[in-house]
Amino acid sequence: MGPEVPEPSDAELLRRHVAGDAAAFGLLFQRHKDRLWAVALRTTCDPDDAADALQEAMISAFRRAKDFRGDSAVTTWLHRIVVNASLDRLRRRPARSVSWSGDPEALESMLAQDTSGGPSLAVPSPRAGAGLLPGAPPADPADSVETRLDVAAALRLLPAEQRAALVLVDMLGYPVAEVAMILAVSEGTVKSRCARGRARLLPYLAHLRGNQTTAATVQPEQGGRS
Amino acid sequence: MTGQWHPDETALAEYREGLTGGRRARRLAAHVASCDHCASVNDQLAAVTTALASAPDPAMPDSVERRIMAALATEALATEASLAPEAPHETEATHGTAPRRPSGKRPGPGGHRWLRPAMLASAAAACLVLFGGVYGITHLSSGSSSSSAASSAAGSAAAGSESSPLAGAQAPATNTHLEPAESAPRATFTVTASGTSYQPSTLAEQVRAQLAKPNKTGAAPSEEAAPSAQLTGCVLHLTGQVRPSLVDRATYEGKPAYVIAVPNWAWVVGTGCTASNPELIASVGL
Repeated sequence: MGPEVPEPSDAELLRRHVAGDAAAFGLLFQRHKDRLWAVALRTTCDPDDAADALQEAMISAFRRAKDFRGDSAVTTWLHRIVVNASLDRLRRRPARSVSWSGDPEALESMLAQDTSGGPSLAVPSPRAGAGLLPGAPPADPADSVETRLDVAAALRLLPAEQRAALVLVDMLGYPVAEVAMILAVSEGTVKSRCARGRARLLPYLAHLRGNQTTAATVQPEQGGRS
Repeated sequence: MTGQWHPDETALAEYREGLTGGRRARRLAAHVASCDHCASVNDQLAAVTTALASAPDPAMPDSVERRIMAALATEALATEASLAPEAPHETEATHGTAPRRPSGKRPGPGGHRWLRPAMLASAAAACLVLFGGVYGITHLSSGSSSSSAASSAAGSAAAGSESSPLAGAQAPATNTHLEPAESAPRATFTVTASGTSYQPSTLAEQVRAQLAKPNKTGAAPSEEAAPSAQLTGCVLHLTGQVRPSLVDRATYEGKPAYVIAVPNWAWVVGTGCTASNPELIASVGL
């Protein structure tokens, strides 16, 4: 393990696994387990579902390793399998869609009851509408709902696809191009899901920011973190 | 600013991502530059990203890690078995071999999972050790009052046994009739009778509870006995010559059985268990 013996690359570990090295895949899993766990947990919003999804994903990757063609990084491939398993698990889970009247206390009560982390809480945006709205300036969205949700609870308010995109781009910091490969959608779709997700989370998370560190000016080019 | 246009958060967020083009983009830019409210919303959108990015990444719980490593070990077993030259035939010894939540499905299509008990048992022990090399030995539950697997494994190796567990790991599928080597010192253990009624859905939890009991080899109220040579052979065969943390004469699904455990794996075998025929009923990762 000295510096003169480099750690085998992910691709090398996968190759060894396919060649019959029984320890190689375990090493690969160990190397990336925390990131993969974060993806599964943040996407499913439930530790039991995350564990099930991650286990399914790892077994699937274990079996399908020989089909890996190397046209993406091994980590991208692993993330894709984990995200798909997580989304599949959400689809198979009984729908627990709940509508929200807009009352913050009702929302907190609803979230407290939904301890298993329902993915489909249908919470309408505090201010419905799209595009340019006429009329008086709306109340500051960060103040319009006094609910103080932490990040994990707020993520549960999003549709699963938006949540997966935001988890990968904003929480884990992956480039938009890589997330597009993970999610098998276009970069524009990734950006759109992120934008809608951020807008939806704004009333719940904007207050969590620290000092004002962002520039007030708007530049389209600065939006994406790719 | 009454009567002025205000883009909603989604429109601003899309604009920030460069998804808005042409005239509309220029209109938004001009508006935000002159509207304090929308400049504030723009700041808040950036703050959402900051809040998400600053949330600490959750570390994978040890229990999840153990479970997935055990599942991968089981998968490796299935792969080995499917590659074995002789055709496996059906037994009833598959229950619980996939360490999943009771309500969970099996990891996948199970046609190739039918394993002969001896093959399964020795391969399980081998895989346990093999995966332990990268995982188990350094990720043990500290709640066990028995020696940890690290010390158990180390003790086995230090005892000068030539039948090192790692030797079995080299070719687990061929060691289906591995008997304890005569030159190998017999690891000593006692048999408890906890009276536990083990059940498939709670097997892992029940075994962990037994492992967590203090002084289970000392002044425990349960009866204890030295194992017969037959049982010793069975146990050491299953554990790969590692001293077990638990050998409990109890019931499983209401039928008499031995529950044998090392710190991160447990087996349930019939009371007629021998080294050559372990009568494996179930196994589970802890």
